[in-house]
Amino acid sequence: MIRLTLKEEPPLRLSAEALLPERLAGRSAGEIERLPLAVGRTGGAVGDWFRVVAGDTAAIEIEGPCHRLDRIGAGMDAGSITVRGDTGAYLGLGMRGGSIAVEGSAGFGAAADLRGGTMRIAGNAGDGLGGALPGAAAGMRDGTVIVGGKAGAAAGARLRRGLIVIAGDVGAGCGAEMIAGTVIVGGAAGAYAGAAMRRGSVLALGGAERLGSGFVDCGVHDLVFLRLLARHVAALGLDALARRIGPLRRFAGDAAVSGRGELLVAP
Amino acid sequence: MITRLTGARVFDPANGVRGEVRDLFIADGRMAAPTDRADRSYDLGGLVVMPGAIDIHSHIAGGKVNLGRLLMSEEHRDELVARGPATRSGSGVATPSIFATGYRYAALGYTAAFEPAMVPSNARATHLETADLPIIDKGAYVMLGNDELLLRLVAAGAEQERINDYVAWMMRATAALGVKTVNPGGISAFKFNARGLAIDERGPQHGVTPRQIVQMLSRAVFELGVPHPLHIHCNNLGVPGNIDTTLATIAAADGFPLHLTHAQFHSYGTEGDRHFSSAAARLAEAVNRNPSISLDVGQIMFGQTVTASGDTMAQYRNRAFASPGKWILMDIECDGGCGLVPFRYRDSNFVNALQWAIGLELFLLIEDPWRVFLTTDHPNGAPFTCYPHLIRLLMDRSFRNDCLAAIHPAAQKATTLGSIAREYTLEEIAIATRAAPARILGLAGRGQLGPGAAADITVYAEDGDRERMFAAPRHVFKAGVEIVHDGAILAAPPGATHVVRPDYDPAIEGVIGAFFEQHMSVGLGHFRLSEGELADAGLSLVAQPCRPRGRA
Repeated sequence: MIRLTLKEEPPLRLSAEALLPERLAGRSAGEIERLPLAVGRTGGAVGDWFRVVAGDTAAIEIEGPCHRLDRIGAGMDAGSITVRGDTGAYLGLGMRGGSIAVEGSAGFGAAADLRGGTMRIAGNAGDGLGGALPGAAAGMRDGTVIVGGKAGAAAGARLRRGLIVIAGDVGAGCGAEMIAGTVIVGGAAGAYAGAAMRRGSVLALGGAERLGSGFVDCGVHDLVFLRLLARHVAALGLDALARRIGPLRRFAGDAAVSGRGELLVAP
Repeated sequence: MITRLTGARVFDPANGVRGEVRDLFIADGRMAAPTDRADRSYDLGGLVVMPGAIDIHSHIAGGKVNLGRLLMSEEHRDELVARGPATRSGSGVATPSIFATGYRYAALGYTAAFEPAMVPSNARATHLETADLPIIDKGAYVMLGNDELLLRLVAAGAEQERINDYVAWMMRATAALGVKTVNPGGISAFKFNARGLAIDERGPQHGVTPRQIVQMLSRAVFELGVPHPLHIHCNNLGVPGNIDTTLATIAAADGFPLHLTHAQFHSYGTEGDRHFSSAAARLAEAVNRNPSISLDVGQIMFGQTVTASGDTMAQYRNRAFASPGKWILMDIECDGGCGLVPFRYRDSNFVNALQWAIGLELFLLIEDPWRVFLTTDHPNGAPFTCYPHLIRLLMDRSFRNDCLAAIHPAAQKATTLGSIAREYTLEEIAIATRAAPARILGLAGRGQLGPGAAADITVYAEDGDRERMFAAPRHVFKAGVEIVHDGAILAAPPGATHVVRPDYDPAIEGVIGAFFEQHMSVGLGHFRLSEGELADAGLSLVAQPCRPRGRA
C-alpha cells in the first residue's frame, strides 16, 4: 500500500493523473516525491504537496483535503486507488482497468470516457457521471460505476457500454444520447431521462419526472432481462437494490432517433 | 542595420538565380544591393537559400476552421504544445490553433499562407482571427458564385459591368486578395434539393448555369485587374468521371485565366472494374496546352485529417465516410455553405490510394512548374506539416516508388506513377513553392530576393533526404529578422495582410443596399469592413497593385 497524504488544501486545481498505482508501485518515497506534479500553471513535485509512504503493491491510498484533486486515476490500467475524502473533477477519466473507491463524493465528470475497471463512490457524484468528453462521439465505453448517493445532471450521457448504478436520485438528462449500456437509478430520475437515446436501458426505480415525447408506454412487464440484471446487481453487493428490480413499466424510445432504447420505470 | 548572408547557394527563380553561390544583403527588412558595409554577417557556406515559401491555398482561419476544431476535439485534447520563450501554447494537428498554425508554417520555412474560402458574411471573423496568426503574411479569397444576390443579378441578365462592380465592391467590403468560387451554382442548388449540377444545367432556383457563373466571374476578375485569376473549385468534386466537368470548366472560361484549386479532387475518370480511375494525364495535357490555366494540386496523404469545404453538396455525399463518425453541414447567410467531415485516408483503400497517386501524377505530368502549386489543400488532403514529405516524393523517384509499392495493389496497377521518371529539382521546388505563388497572386516583392523585395528568406542545410532537409530549415528570416534558428522560434512578429482594392461604380451600392435591407441579418454599413477596424485589430494591410484591364 502506498499512502499519499495531502499536506494542505492546494490553492488551485491539482492534476493528479501522474499518481497511478502501476507507476508508483516499487518506487521509494523519495522517488515518488520527486515526480512532477503541476498546480495551476506552475510546475512542482509530488513532495511539495504530499507526504509519501512507499509500498510495493499497486495500491494507493490518498487522504487529506482532496476536493481540488482532479483526474485521480485518469488513464489507469491496473491496481487500486482509495480516496479517503472527496475528489475533484474527472475522477478515473478514461480509466481502462483496476478499481477506484472514494469514501466521500466525486466532482464533475467522474468515470467520463471510462473504458473498463470498477469505480465505487460512497457519497454523491457531480454532473456528467460516466459522460463523454466534449466533442466525443461516445461517453463511457465499458466498466462498472457504483454511486452510493445521488448523481447530478447527464449521468451516463452517450453511454456506449457498461453499467452505472446510482442508489439515489439523478438530475436531468440521465442517459441522454445513450448508444447502449445500462443505467440503474435507485431513486427518482430527473427530467428528460434517456432523451435522444438510441439503444440501451435506463431503470428508474423511484420514478421518472417528465419523459420526452419520443417515448411510448408499452405497459408493465416482468422481463427476463431484469431478473438477470437483478442477479448481476446482487453480485456487486447491492442486495437491497437488487430486490427492488421487478416488474417495471417499459417506455420504448427515443423515437426521435431510432427508438430502440427503453426507460424502465417503477409502475 | 545591414545584414549579410554569405556563401550560400541561392535559388531565386524570379530573378533567374539557379543555385549560384551569392552574397545577399538585407537592409530595413528588405533585400538590398551589395555593399561592403555589414553590421551583421551570417556565414551560410554550403547551405541552400530560397525566398520564404508561400502557401497559396490553406484553410487556416474563419468559421469553418473553428467548426473543424470543434469536430476534431480529440486532437485538441491529445496534441498539446507548451508555450516557449517566444511562443504561446497551442494544440491540434489537422486544425491547429491559430498561434500554432503560424509557428508551424514559420518552422517549415513558410512566410505566407492564404485562406482560400472566406464567406463574405464571415469576413470579419476571418480577418480578426488572422490578426492572431503570428509571423506569416496572410490574405483571403472571398467566396462568390453561390451568393444569392449574384445569382439574382445573373438570372436577371445583368451586364458584365454590373457584375464587375458587384465583385469589386465585395472584394473591398471583405478586404480580399482574390475571388474564389466553390461548386459554382451548386451550393445554392443543394439548398433546393439538387444533389448534383452539371456545367450546363440550370440551377433549380435561379435557372443560372455553372458555365454562366464561371464566365462572368472569371471575366470580372480579369477586367478588374485583380492579379490572381478566378480561384475555382469546380463542380462535382470527388465524383468519378468529373474530369469532363473540369475540362468543360476550362473551356467555359473562354480564355480568361482560371486557377483550378485542389485539382487532384477533380481529375477522376470512370474506367476500370471499380469505375474509378486517374484522369490526371487528361488534365495535365489540357493545362500544358492552355497557358492561362494554373492549378494547385491538393495532394492527399495517408492518415487522419478533416475535410473542410464550402461545398455542401460534396460534403453531404462524403458524410457517409466520416471518421470519426461526426460531421457538420450548414448554410451561411445565403452567402455560401460550409461542410466539415473528419476523414482518415488509408493506403489500403483503393480510392484513397489512387487519389494519392493522381495528385503525384499531376505534379509530375504538368510541365511548367510556374503553373502547378504545392498544396495539400490543408487540411482537406492532409495537414500542411506533410509538405516536407511531399517534397521528397516529388524529388526522389526511388523513394516515391517505394511508397507506391506499399499502397493498395489495384491502385498501383491503375496509375502510371511508377513509369514517370521526372524528379523535381531544387529550382523547380523553389518555383512551385515561392516564385510562382507570388507571381500568380500578384504579390509585389515577395517570393523573390531581388533588391527591394521583402527579406523573407529560408535557409536549408543540403541533405540527400529531402524530407529532412525541408522539415527543418537552419534559419528563417521574416522581414529581415531571424525568427527561426534550428527549429526554435526566436520571435513572433505579426505578418502583413495582403489585399487588392479594385474600383467600382458606386451606383452598385444602391442594388446591394436594397438587397441587404430586405434579406440580410445585418445592414450594408455593418457588413462592410472598415480598414480602421482591421488596423485596430492589429492587422497591417498591404494593397497589391490592381490595374483594370480592358475587354480581352
